[in-house]
Amino acid sequence: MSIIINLDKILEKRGMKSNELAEIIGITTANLSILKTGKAKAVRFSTLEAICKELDCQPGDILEYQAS
Amino acid sequence: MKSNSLHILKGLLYVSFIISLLTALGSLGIAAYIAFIGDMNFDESNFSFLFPIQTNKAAISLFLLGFALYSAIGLIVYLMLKIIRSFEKGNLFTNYQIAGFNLIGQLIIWLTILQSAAEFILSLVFKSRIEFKLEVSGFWLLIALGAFFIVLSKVFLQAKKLKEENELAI
Repeated sequence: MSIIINLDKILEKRGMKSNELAEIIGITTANLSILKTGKAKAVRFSTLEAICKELDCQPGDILEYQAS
Repeated sequence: MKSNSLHILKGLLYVSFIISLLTALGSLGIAAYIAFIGDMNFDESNFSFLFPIQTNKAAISLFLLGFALYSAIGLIVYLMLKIIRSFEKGNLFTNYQIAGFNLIGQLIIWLTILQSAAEFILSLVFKSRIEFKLEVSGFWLLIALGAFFIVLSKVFLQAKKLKEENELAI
């Protein structure tokens, strides 16, 4: 897929672990893992909003388009 | 997924399954009886109104045809029962249901075609005349029913893809 998820990099910058973020934003660690590995087919606005709010970033920081 | 209508449908299918199984076994039993023991008086037998049966071989082939027909109907009903059981477990749009509906549809269509072909051949052999029936009920209705089940399997396939997509929306 040509949409890259940079969640790992941002989590590293913020010094936060995946399971912590999953717990805070109210999704399962399995679903967060699906999102991080790029297997997700869609991201809900509510999830994106919760991630951006918690990590204090913009959607563009998390999602990146790379021409294949 | 439990509902009254599913419960009633399951009951009806159970009855149909038992009737078709008993009819199939009965046909096989009569065929075996004629083949190994009996020497039937075909002029007075109850089934001679279908075709003028005069030999043991003709009677055996007719009852074996009945056995094959009712066995196939039993198989179709059994598949339907299995699918309803999977609905009751709460599973929806599974590969089993998709393949099951497709198989049921194909079995109904092939069974209808083969039954009509058998009737045509039997009337040709026993009555020495060619019969064509162009009626709305019967043949075409069953073909439509078979096609409906095949379409249903395609709908379930699409629904499965949508379900997977929905499950992967985070």
